[in-house]
Amino acid sequence: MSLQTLLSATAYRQGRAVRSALVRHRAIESDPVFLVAWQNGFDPFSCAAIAFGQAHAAPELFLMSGSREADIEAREFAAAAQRFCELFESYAVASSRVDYQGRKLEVPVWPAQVVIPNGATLRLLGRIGRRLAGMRHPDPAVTAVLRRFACHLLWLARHADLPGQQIVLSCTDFLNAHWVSAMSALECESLFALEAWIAPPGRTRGFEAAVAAERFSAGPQPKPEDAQTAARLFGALEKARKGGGEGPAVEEALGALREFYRGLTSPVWALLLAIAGRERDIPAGAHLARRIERDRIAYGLHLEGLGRAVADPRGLRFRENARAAALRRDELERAAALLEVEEAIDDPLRMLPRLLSGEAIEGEVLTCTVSRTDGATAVLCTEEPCTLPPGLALWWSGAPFGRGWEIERVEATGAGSKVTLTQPVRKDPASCPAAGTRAVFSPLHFDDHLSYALSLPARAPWTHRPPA
Amino acid sequence: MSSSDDIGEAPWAARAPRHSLTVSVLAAAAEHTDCTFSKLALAGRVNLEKLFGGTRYEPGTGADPMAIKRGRLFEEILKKDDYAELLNLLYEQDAALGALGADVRIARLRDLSVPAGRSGLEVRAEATRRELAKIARRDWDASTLLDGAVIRARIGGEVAYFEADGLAAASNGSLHVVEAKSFPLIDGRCDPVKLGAACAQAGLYAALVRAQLREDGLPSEAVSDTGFIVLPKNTRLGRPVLLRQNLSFHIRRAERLLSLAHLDEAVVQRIEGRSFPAAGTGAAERIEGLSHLMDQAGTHYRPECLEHCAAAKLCRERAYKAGRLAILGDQASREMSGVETFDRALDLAAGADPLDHERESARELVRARRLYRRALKGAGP
Ligand code: SF4
Repeated sequence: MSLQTLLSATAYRQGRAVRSALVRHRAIESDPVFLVAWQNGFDPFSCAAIAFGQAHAAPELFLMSGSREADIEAREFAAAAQRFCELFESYAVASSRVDYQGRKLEVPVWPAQVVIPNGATLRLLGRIGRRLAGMRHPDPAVTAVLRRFACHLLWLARHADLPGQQIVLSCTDFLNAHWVSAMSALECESLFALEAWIAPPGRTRGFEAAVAAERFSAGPQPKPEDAQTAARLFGALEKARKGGGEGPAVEEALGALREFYRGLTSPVWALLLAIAGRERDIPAGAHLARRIERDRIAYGLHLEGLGRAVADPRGLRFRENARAAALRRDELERAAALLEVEEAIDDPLRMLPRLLSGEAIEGEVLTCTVSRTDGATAVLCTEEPCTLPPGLALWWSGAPFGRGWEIERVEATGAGSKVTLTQPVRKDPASCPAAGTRAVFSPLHFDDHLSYALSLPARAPWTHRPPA
Repeated sequence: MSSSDDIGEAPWAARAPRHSLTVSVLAAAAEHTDCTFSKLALAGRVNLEKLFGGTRYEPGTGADPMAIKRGRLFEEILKKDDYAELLNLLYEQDAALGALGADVRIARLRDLSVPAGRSGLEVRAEATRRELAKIARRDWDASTLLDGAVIRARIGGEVAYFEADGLAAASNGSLHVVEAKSFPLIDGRCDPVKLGAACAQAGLYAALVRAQLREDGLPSEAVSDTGFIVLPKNTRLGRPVLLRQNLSFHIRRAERLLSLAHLDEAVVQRIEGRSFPAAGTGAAERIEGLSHLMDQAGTHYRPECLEHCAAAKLCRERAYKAGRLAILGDQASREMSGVETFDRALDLAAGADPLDHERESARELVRARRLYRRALKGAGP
């Protein structure tokens, strides 16, 4: 926390946000899908408008006019669904073969990526998916495309929970993980305010720029004044529809709504593009490649199972049983642990929390002797007193795998400590720190258990089964 | 729930625009019991929204009209057939209510033919008081459900009337607050922030009813700690579901707020001669007047103020200009105990002599700065 406060204080004094990461820890694809959605205040499971597309063209905007007629509603959703599915599945044009859990899989060479403004948009997409999954229409083609869309949205909402995934890129989460401003967590949820701190225009200071930027919303909830306008326009449409059918009055009201949502969307769209463009230029962390690989396998598996899910939506489970919940939890915990290791190895700033908490040590390597037969011994001189006990295993951040280094002795030297670490197994000299260099030893390492999924019996034990 | 009241002379609020107290105003105030300025505004019924209107600190207020429409529709669904669906749900949840069988009595206090305005509310408050007394005494003709109850309470020394949306009563003399909200319960989960706010409102109803019973010499325990929040289930508005909630924490908090709403003499003396500006004054003058009053009364800005208080944008700017760490949130201020401002944090990090109470935070800041600089130089891992 002292680090966070220090960075916030620096941002305060400089009048602009400071970076909290030296490299970029998420991928930003060269041509992702950008998506902006606007909530329908009346129905949390619907949206008033959704706009998406790629950077090279203007976004396509789809209006959900809030019609009480099921047919109109389904067709409006189907139009958006059709286009989204085409776009989202278009990333799977070329494929290559990978080994996955003992299987040979043919998966897309590159995963799809959807860039959205914030976590609230993701939650809205999940709710829309939840609703569309159960929507039926007399025309089987409409039902099928709605289900397909629902499957994509539900999968995106679920996949987004996986630490380090990059198929869904929520810009506020991304920026908050890479920048620190002098705003509270609550204010950092505003993409416009956050960006104002990161890139304040001209000589403006971050605070003033953020206050001015707060008049915009990046969705899904419009600003109160805009919500009033939306309600008025929807009211006018309802009235026109009551007047009968699809006459010019209805067309006019629909046109006004489309224009209104286009106006709301365009500053958000420009902002998403600007953020993606700027952040893409920041060098990526070395372990990003592993996570891209994991994402493309997940994307491939999702597309593989899509046909089944569309044909039989009963397969879409909204509640997990005890076994599925345990497996999922294990998967998320392993992903989070692995992500922490990868980010700390890629980026010295990400190692700081472990150093500050005293779980890791840093210093100059006084000596490091590597024996061909007996392993290695390193002596580290730290500027701070080492409070870790002898016998504890730590890993050198330059080679954080295999068996750890054991703390053999800690001796006080002025303000710091002299720490002797031994490596009991034979080591390649390249996986040992060189004398005269600085090194960090921490508990973070690539452990085998991080790569293996939990194995549970197919049937949950009676203690975890719902009553018959 | 809304209130109408007879405002006595709060000299500091004599010229200011006023509004009636609502449960949401009270619930918002409950979040800031440590802010004297906000307590002054509450006690004087000062309409801060109006006071900040037309200035650059104007709060972005106003609920989404479509969301309001949804809320109304959900209430209509619940009221259909004499609350049949709601009562069924209550029966399922509560054995005591279940014991009532078909003997359901609904007190429709909203439908009483009463004059509009304060005198009408007074009549309804009296009727509510009688109904509450019957429930607490376990009379045979006590109501099962109170619809449109009005509770009279003293806030800041003045009488105010609160209109409740619905109160459920059990036959064994215990009364449960029922709060209907239109945000959905999806697959057994709902928005925890919204649920918390609903419980806070229910807690306030309960605290107000308890105060009423106490005033009438009846057992306040008649109001149960268990309340019910009614929500639409999943994607359909027409399928309500009942969440049983322990409201004891919220009731205690509300009771504390109701007692705190009485300003102590010291505060009143501190602002002697100062008052909230009149609505008609120019924007700059109004802000100046409000800032002076804030200086004198004292404020306690936290980021949560942005969600609850109409003065938040001004308070945030004042806190920012003073460089207060509080703008980051409670956690940052707590963890940097003893350090109040960004500048001081930076000075301490750079090695300035800490005062006694800053020593711990200073040591952490010095370390953070040293390690951060080293990492930036690339001398790290
Ligand atoms: S915004 Fe200002 S006046 Fe309102 S509660 Fe917070 S500190 Fe008090």
